[in-house]
Amino acid sequence: MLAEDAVRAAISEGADGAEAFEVRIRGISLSVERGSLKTSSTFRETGLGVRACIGKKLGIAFATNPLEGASIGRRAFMNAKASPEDSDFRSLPEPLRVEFMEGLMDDRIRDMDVGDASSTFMASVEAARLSPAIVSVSGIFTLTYEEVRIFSSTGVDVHESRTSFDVFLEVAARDGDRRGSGFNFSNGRRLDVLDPERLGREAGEIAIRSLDSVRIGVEMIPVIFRPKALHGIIPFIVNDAANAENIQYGRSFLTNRLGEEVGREELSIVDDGRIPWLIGSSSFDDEGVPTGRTKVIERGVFRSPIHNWYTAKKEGRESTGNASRDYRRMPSVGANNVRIEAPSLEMSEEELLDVRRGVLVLYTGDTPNLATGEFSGMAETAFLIENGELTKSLRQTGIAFTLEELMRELEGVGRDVESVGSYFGGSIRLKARVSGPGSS
Amino acid sequence: MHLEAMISKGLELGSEFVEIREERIRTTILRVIDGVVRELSSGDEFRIGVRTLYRGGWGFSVARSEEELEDALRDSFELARLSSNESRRLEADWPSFKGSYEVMGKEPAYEVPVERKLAMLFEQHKAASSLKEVRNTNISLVDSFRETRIVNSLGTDVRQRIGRVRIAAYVFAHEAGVTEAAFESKGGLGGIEVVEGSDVAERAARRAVEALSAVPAPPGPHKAILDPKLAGVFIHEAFGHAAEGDSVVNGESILTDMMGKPVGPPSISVVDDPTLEGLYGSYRYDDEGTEARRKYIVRNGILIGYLTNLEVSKRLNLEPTGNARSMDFGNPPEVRMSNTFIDRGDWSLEEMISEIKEGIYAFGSLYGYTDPAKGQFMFKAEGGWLVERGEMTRRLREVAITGMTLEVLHNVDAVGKDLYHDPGSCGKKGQWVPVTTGSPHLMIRSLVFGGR
Repeated sequence: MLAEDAVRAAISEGADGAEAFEVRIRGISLSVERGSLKTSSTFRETGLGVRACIGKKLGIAFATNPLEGASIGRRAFMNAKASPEDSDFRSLPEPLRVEFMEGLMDDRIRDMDVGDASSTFMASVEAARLSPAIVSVSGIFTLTYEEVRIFSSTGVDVHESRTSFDVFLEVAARDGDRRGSGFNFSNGRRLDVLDPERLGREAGEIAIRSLDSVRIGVEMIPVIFRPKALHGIIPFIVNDAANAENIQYGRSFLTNRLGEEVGREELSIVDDGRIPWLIGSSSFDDEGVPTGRTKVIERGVFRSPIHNWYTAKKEGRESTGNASRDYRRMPSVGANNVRIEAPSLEMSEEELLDVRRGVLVLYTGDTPNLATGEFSGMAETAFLIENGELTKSLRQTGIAFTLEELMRELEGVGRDVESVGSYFGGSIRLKARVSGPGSS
Repeated sequence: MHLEAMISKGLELGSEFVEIREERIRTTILRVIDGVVRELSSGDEFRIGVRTLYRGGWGFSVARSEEELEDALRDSFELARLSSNESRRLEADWPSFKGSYEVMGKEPAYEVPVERKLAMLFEQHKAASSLKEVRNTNISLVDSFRETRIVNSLGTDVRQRIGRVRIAAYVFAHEAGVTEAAFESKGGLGGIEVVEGSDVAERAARRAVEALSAVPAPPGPHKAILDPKLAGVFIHEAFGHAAEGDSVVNGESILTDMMGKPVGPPSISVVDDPTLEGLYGSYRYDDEGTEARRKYIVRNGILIGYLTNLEVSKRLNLEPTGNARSMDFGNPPEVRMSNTFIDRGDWSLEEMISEIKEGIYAFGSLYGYTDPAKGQFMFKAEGGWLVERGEMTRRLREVAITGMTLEVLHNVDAVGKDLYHDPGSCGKKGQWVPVTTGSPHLMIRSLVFGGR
C-alpha cells in the first residue's frame, strides 16, 4: 500500500508520472570475535523511494521506516517542481513482460532461526582453528530476506521475494614474531552452496601458510588470480567501463570504442542476470525491466554497453535490464552477474600453475582506473610460485597491468568456477608487473 | 512508552546492561552532471536500536517505530542470551554521561532553498568546464541533519543534533586519446557556510588536466614525500586501524603487546580527536553516549594509546575513549576512528624537496585499506611528481603504495608544519562512517610504489 499511496499522491499533486520503489528487508546477523559468538542481531527495515516527473523535471523523495506513503509522494512532486529540466530525460520506465525465474528464494534462509544460523557459522569458525598458531577467528554471518516492489503510474507493477547469505571470516596466526592472516568469504541466494567447514579450513590454511613470507623485487612474470581476487576486476569491465552512463559522459576507457577489438578473439565477457541462485540474479532490475543476457565483449570486440532506462532512451535504445538502485537515490547502471566465456583458453589447475616463476593472488581489494583501465594495486594475499609449486607467501607486493592487456593477453582461464560478488567464473592467468622492496 | 521505562523493563527481563538509541536523519542529495541536474533527492530516516548484554553476549534488535520498541527489547534480550558465554563475561560498570550537543552552523543546510544549493553546483560546473580539456563534471552536494538520543541502564542520557555538509567534484579531462580524472571534496559539521565559496571543482579540473601528460610511476622502492592528503590516509590505514582496540583485544593487530614501545621516530605523534570544531569526523558524544575526547595514539614516537568503546575499554583495562560509532542506529556500534592525524612537525616542503636527489612526490588519495593482523597496508595516490636533484620534473599517474605498519613510521625522516584535514568515509564490517584524515607533508626514506 505504501507504494500505491505514494504514486497516487504525487499524481494528484500534479505530477505527470510517478514511480515507487519499495524494499522490505529482514534478517539475522551474527558476529564472532576470538572464536566465540559476540553479538546476535536481528534487523528489519522498510525503504521507500519515489521518483516523480513533471515534463522533463525529476525529483526523488525517500523514507526509511515510513508510517505512510502519501507524504513521500507529495515531497517527490515538490522536488521535481524545484528541479530544472533535464533535456535527456525521455520517460519513466514502461511496463514490460517479466518472466519470473526460479532460484531467488531459499525457504531455509527465510525461515532460519538464530540458533540454527549460529550452529552453521560456528562450524566454520571451529574448522578455521587448525593449529595452536591460530590466535583469533572473527567474522560476520548475515542472512537476509527481502521483498522488492516497483509500482508506477505508467503501469509497472512487479514484486519479488529474494534471499541471500553473506559470510566473512578473518583468521590471525602468530608463531613467535611471525604473523600471518587469512580470510575467506562467500555469498549467494541459497544456503546449500555454503560449505561452512571448508570455508573455515581454507581461511585457517591461508593464515598458517602466510606465517612464512618473503618479499620480491620488480619483475614481469605470470600472475594467477583466483576468483576472489577478480571480483573487483572482471566485473569492473562491465559494471564500470561498459556502463552506458560512463560511456555517454566520456569517463570510461571504452568511450567511442563500440565495435572495436579490445581483447583477444577467444574471449567473450557476458552480463547475465538470470543464473539461478547467484547474488546478482533477479527476474527484473530495479526499474522493473526484465533482466537478460548481454554480450558486452564478443570474441574480443566491444559489442554492447549495459543500460538502464534513462541511458537507453537517451540513445533511442532498449534497456538491458541493468538498473541498479538504492531507494534513496536515482537509479544508476550496474552489472548483474559477469562471466568470462573463453572455452578455448580453459586450463586445468596443473596447467594454470605450470610456470617457472609466478605469483598466485588469492585476494586484492583494489579496482582499476575507469578513465585509463590501469590497475595498480596490492596483492593482499599472495604466494610465490616456483617451478609449478606454491612456496612462501608474499608481503608488500604491488601488481600492475591494464584491463586491455588483461583482455588481449589472457593466457588461460581455470575451471574452478566460483561465484564471488558479481563475478561468476574461474581463475585467470596473465603476465603482469609485480613490484616489491626487493628480495628478503 | 518512555525510553526510561523500557530500560527498566530490559533489566527486569534479566539484562545486565540495556541501551536504547533513537535516531532521525534528514538528508538532501543533489547531483549536477555536465551542468544538468541528474539527482535531486530528499528524505527522512527513523530507527530505534536496542542493545542488551547478558553474560558476555550482546543482543541487538531494531524497532521501526515506538510501537515496535517492546518487541525489539524482548528480541534483543533473547539474542543476548543466545550469544552468552561465561568466558566473555563483562562487568557493566562504565561511566555514565548526561548532556546535549548541537552543531547546526550559521545557516542550517536543510533550511537553504534547493535553488540556492543548485546555483552553487552550477557555479562549480562553470568553473571546472572553463578548461577546454574538461570532458565531464560530476558535482554533488550531500547535507544531513542527524538527531539522536542515547539512554542506557547506567544513567547515560545524551542528545545530539548534528548538521553535516559535503561537496564533492569528480572531473574527467580528455586530450589526444588520453582521459584522466581527479576528485576533490570539502565537508564538515555545521551549515551551508561549510562549503560555500569552495573551489573543489576547479581544483579537481586543474589536476585532471595536469594528469593528461602524466607517465606511469617507476615501480619499486623510492624515497618519497607524501602530501597532507595522502599522508593522512597513510596514517589512517597504516596505524589508525591497527590501534582500534577490538583488533588489539582479539590479537588481530600488529600493535597488540606494543604499548609503551617505540613505533616511530620522536618527530611522530598521532592523534585521534573527535572534539575538533567543525571537522567532518567530529562529535561530542559517541554512539554509546560516551563523551568524546582528544587522545594520543603515538606520542613522540611511542605507542601510548588504543581507541576503545565500552566493552574494549573493560577488556584492555583502559578508559573508554569515546570511539564507538555506527553508520546508523540499525547497526550496533563498533570501535572507529574520528579525526585521526599526524601532529605538526617543523619542516617546510621546500626543505624536504631540496633534500631529495631522486624520489617521488606523491599526492592526493583515492582510497586505502589495511590488514592489521599481517601489518601490511595499501593506499592509492591520485598522482605524483618525479623528484630529481631537488626539482619536480615529470608528472606521474595514479599509483598504489604498499608498506608494513611497523617499518614505515620508522622510515619517516621529516614531518612538515602544514597540517591539513581531509573529509572522507571509512568502512569497517560493512559500516561507513564520516571521518577526516590529516597530516602535514611527510618525507619517507623508502616506500614501495606499484607503478608499471
